[in-house]
Amino acid sequence: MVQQEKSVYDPSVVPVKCAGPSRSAISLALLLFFAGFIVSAGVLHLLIGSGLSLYGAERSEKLAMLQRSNYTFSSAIFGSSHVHQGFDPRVFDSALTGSPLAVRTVNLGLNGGAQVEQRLVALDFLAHLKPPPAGQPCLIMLEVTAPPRFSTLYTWHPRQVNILDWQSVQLASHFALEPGTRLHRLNLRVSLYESAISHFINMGMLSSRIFPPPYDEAEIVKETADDRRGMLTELPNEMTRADVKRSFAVRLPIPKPRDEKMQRGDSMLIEDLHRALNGGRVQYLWVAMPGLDDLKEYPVYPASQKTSFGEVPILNLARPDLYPQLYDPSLWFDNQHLNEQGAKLASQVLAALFLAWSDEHSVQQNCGG
Amino acid sequence: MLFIEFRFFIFLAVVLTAYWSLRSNNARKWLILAASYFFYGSWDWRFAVMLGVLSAADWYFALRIERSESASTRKAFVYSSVAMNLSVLAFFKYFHFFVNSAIALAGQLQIHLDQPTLKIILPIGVSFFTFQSLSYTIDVYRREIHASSNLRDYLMFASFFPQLVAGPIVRPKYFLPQMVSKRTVSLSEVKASLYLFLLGFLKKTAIADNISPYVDRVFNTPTHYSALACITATWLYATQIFCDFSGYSDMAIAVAGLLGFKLALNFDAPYLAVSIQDFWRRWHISLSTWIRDYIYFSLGGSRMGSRWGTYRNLMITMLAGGLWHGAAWTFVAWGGLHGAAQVSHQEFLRVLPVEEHHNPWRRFLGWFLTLNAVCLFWILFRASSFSVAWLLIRRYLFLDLGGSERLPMWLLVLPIALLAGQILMRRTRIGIRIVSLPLGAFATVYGAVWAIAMAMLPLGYRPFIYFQF
Repeated sequence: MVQQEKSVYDPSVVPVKCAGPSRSAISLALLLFFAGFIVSAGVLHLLIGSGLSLYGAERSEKLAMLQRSNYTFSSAIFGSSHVHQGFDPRVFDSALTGSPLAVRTVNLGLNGGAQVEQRLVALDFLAHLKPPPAGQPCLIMLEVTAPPRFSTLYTWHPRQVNILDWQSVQLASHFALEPGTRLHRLNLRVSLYESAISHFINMGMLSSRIFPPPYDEAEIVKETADDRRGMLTELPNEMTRADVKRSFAVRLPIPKPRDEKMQRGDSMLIEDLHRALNGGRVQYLWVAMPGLDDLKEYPVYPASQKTSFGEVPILNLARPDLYPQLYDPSLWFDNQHLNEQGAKLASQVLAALFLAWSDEHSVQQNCGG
Repeated sequence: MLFIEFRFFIFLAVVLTAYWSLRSNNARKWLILAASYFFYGSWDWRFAVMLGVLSAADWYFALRIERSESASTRKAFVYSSVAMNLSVLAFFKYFHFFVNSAIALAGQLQIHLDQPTLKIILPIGVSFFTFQSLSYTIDVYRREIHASSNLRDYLMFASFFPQLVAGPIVRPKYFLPQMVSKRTVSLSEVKASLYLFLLGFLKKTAIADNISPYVDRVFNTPTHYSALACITATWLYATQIFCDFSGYSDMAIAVAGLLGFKLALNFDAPYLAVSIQDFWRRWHISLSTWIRDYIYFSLGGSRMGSRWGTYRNLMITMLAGGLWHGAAWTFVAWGGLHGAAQVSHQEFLRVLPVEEHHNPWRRFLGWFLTLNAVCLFWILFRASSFSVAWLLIRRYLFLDLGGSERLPMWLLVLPIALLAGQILMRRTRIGIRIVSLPLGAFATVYGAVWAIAMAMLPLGYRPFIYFQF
């Protein structure tokens, strides 16, 4: 073979002019190329399975953490870094202890986690949910303030490609696009569809199965030590302290309220999860996490969201007018994230809000019953 | 712009469409020249300017060498070319190496020297294009070729984008004649090029890039890993560097082939070599023949009268080859080890000459020892320092059992399986079989394999290893 290949690339061989293939033969060859590609990609897609898998950077680690805990949690909170750093499951659970709503909660927030990732982690949680003793609820808390999707930076990143099946694409496209120029928004939309195409041609999906990135064991240890159950605690530095200082310096004496509506994507997410549960009884909650931008303008959500299976409460912590105690500089890591003390307080407030809501509404208490 | 990036595919499609639409050879050469500078300028346009200036200067030097009858003038111009190219190489590639070595040496003598604040960016592929230019002026000086009177033709030769940044190093006597007439390609040549491009793409993306995180983990923190993990990582690195570099060469040869130009084979199953000499006949062939022709032969080669003179030339050549690969003492040591291995092998052959009919056991032993020596030497090539290299070498030889962390066992089998796959591909002549398929069947199989290549894409692009050289 080597000898023959050498002859193909030997410049001493004078190129021979010969009749090339006709245009119709070239067109047919192109058609067959695409047919071969599509059939092969289709077969691979079936072999790989759904292909939905979280990739790296505290993503697969969260699912590994769940697996190693033997899925002993009856309640979970999902979302972005606001949740990851701003929710302490230990405090939340102890605030509910003794009430009929006692649960065992895990923090499944992800740094930079988008709504489509929130869906995926929640689906994994629900798939392994073991019903707690009779009479106790299961809680699924979703962050309403999580970014709807990824930036264009992640167009061909396995983090995005691996999870953008058709339902995720639909979900992502039903969230309002972030503000920006028309071109930027078009770019975001195009990037979403590019990633979706990449998903269906399995781009990088086989290699990420064969050569999975190793778990960040240090991260898992950090988030499970002292029964932290997924909560991340970051130590502040000069930059983050300055961030906090700046935000408090420019706060308005009376922050302005801003009406927020629930989006179509939010309904789709809840309905999608509910469908996946196949008749199971789970109590859903929407949670709006606070940020220091609230000191200028804060979101006001409706009290609940109507779904096909009832009302889902929206518990809004981003209310400096109602919870000024959360807006103390000592409770903040940076201008977007609470620190450990802040997370404790926010979790207490959230538990209190949930208890207050349950006084007036019926809570799905017989999880899996 | 890497060969494996989507934008390169767009670039190549545009260039190929325009190229084959043009009727005149001159117009095509202008197009390739423009495309090559666009390609190189996509990294940094300033270096494209530098490449243009260097190439124009070498073209001028070569013309003056050819047109001059005076030996001293000819010598002056060839020295000027050598000095200019080596100065560029020394400045961009070896400045920090020389300075840091001088500071370290001064430190040993209790003299404190400050680090320079100058930070030099390495122009991509500088080692390749300076060597290619050197071969041109030296060949003209040796009267082996005629100087090109056309500046455009020379600029195109010096910047030909398929092989500009990582070779193969093209010889002018091999390439310039191809520029004289309008290139044509047959259907079978197109299929051969497409096959070779896909093969190179798979080697680079599906194999080299996917195993590189495992290699990096062990080489970055070797103390944590067991001896078996260190052996696995070394074998994986041997696989990675072969697939990475030969993958690039395959793609470069294929892209040139699609433009109607033929480049010589750069790799010929080097891990099947039965001796260290054989290895260098199979590994990075364009560089090994370059250093043989321009360094080893210039030093006198094997016509030194004594074998010790030949060995000295061999050692100098291999040390220079090591330094060419990277500005660090570990690369020099790597070259030195290859030189020493070749000298040892020559001595061994004096004691036990090769039999007329090769003994299969001797061939097998030769292959086994060569492969393991090459792998051991790769440790020096990849390690960040001598201490890391020494630790890994001890673990490779089981002189130190190492830490507790491991790599998955199947990764140890992977390089063996890939080597077996290579043997099988050569035995079954799979390449020839695929290229011989009728167009429709070839297109279908080609599309199907591209789908697998997409699924095997690595998690994030990694530049070709040889781009840094």
